[in-house]
Amino acid sequence: MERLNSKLYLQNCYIIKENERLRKKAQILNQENQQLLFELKQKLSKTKNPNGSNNNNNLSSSSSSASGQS
Amino acid sequence: MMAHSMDDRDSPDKGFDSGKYVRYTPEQVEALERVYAECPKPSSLRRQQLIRECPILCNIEPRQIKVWFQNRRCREKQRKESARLQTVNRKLSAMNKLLMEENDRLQKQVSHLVYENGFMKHRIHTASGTTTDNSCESVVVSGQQRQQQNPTHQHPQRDANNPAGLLSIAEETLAEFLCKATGTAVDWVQMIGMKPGPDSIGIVAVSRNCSGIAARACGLVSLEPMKVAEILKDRPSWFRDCRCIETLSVIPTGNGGTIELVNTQIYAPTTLAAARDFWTLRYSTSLEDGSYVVCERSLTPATGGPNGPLSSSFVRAKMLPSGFLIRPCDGGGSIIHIVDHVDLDVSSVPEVLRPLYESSKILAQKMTVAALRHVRQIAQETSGEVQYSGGRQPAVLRTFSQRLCRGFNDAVNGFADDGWSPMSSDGGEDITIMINSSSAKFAGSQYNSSFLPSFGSGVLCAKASMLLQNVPPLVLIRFLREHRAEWADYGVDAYSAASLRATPFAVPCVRTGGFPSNQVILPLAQTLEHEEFLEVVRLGGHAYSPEDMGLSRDMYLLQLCSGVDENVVGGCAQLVFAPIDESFADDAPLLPSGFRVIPLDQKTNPNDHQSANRTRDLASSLDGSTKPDSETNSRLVLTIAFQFTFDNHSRDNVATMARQYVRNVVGSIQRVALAITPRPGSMQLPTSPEALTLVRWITRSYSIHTGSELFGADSEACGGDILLKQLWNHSDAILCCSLKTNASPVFTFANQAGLDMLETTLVALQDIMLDKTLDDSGRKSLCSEFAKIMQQGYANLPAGICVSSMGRPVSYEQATVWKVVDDNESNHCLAFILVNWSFV
Repeated sequence: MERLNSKLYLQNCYIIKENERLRKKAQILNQENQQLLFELKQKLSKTKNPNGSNNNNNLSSSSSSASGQS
Repeated sequence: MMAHSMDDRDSPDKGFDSGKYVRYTPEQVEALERVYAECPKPSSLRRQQLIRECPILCNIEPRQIKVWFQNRRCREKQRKESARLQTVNRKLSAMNKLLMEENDRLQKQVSHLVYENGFMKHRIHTASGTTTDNSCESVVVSGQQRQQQNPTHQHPQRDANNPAGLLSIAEETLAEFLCKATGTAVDWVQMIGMKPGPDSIGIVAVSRNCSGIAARACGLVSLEPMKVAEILKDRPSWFRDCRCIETLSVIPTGNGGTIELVNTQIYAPTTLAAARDFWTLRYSTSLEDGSYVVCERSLTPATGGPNGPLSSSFVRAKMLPSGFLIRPCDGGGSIIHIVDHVDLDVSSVPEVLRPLYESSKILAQKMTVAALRHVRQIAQETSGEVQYSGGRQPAVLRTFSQRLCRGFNDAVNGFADDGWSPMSSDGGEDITIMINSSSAKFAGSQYNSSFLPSFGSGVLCAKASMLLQNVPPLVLIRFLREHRAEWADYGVDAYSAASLRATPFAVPCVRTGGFPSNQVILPLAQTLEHEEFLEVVRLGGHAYSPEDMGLSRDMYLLQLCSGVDENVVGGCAQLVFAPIDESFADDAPLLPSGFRVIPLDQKTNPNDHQSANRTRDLASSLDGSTKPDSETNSRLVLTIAFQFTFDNHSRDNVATMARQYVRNVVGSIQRVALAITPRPGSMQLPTSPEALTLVRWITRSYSIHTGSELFGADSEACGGDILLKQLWNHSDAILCCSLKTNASPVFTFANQAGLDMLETTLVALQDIMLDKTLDDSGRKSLCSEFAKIMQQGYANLPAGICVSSMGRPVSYEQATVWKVVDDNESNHCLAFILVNWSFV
């Protein structure tokens, strides 16, 4: 039983470290993601510009609707 | 029982056999067990007495009895040990399950992000004029949805006036709550993480960038799910700021659950803003997998519900889908997920107080973590792991804590419903005086019959709130608790104590400077996580006038100190005390007074360098803006309230005394605040040209020798000023140490973190020797790496422990040492950077 407990304890330690690593990774990816999003919007707004401002508005409004639940 | 027998035994007597094993009959065993229950370790005298008195045992040899008891004690130990291991096993298994789920969720999140990133990269590289709008928009929209994984459609107008409508709102609430509890519907920032041991409190996270504020906690508890639900539904028992909770109607739902319409009132934390209340729908139900959920959200006109009772004393706040989810574990425990998500109507609060109402950390501390801790506390008490102290059951002591908190909240809020009315002031009052003459004030606490309020008598409360700057909240409360003599007036305390006994006592004149009295703190109880301490304070009896010689005796206060633990999430702390009779009766009347401290700036935790757990505030680090001023400009709001009794003759005298007393206390606190503010000298970074040059040398040497930048890519491009600020405000400790060969190296320079770590100032730094700071292994590793440092220019040292100038041990995860060269390429000094240091 003691051995089992020690095993579980170690496993938990390992999972905690792993989760921490994943969390950091998710954070970095999130940041990257935001940047890419920004770049994409910029690029599209540049290419769309001659076509009128409508599309820009669509993009900006859907990306700024950061509302939670009502 | 006793093992095998060699012979068969039918006779009640035991015959001592030539074999080694003896067997006892059931009657004998029963008799022995009875004795064991009373006395597990009887003396030889007692054993002989036993043989004489008990006829069944009379044929057993004394030695055998001794052996039986020995074996019995041994068996007891084994049983206890086995039970303990099983408990630990259950806890670890449950934790394991929880962690694996989180792991699973994180993996999904990461793979989702990787996919999206890949997709967007692809789109960016192939974006041309002819790409369709739809795909781009879908990327943008899905980018948003990742942040809000619950359906974000507008709720169609629902009719909450009938059970079916209510049920659909309830189901919706359930779905949204579950998304938050176990998903990523709200952007969560982890505050406290799970520790691998079986007693970790769990995982606590607060929200970032969502409407309102939210906090969630997840932990394990060794109680049955229904018991947990019962405890958590009784909000006033664990939410100290909850005034009352009233269920206005209960509607059963088809699947055995219930829908309740609930009105909850919360006390205001300060005297500067009004209290809040909620009108909510609460849905309790079991889920298919055996777990139990109670989820709750506000009913608003938008959701078509009946308008709940509105009270003028309260501002209506909104609760977004919140609740708790309880999952059963093997062996009778539960995994609890709690989510609290509220919108406290910040617009109606004075600007300066807004951070309080917008802080998800404070929400976490007061509600989410408080709930989890309360359940764990009860679980520990039930399982017998908590020791009784002061001869009282923990539940009784908890009642004391609750009454002290409630009394203090009542004083701070002063609701008319509770019988409070303002007393006319002398104009321009910073201190509010309120009177309560109603019997409601005394209800529930049995005062002596002689103390029942006669006409015109009652309770007077003097209260005020003030803002303080640059005072660490916990330090202030600790100071107030430990150095009562600095702010209290013995005469006033004596008056409070005497009024408890309903003996006539002259209203004292409050003297500035007071009369010295000594206090002795006798601890009574503390909670598991040490976030609350209940203690008795004995104030030394001094007679302060000859006539009172006979009356001078020790006074006692029952005192509650909360929020001073190292792991506190929101930073709020409180010191509440009430005079108490020596008898300490369980139902003793309590009239609490006290202090409450709430930090207003949440960007940087003012205790960052003092807490053992460096809670990483991801929100501010992700903002990308370094705010060197925010660390030096932390504000807090301090609320003071003192209650006194008066009788029909003394009301105005007591009012005058109270006013003067609170003024004196405020003055003392301002004096104290100046004393405990971090030394102004250490706050100013050195701006001399030498400092600028040194910093330039330090960073340049670092990049030359290690090949990477000390502060990120553009540190070289910065002007000296900015570089200095960056180094000064860097969270890791950076120290410079002299390189003289014939003298012991001393520190010559440090950044703010370095000074905090060594607990010294720039001026005193030169007295600190490197040898005295590092521990043995640190010195050894430095010595062994020294040659490498001189040749290559730098070395990394492993994690270790060093010691501040005050002797406090500090641990660090890693250290890098490099030699700093000046503009002439000659060695100037050694530089150290200690990464992730914290006090042990």
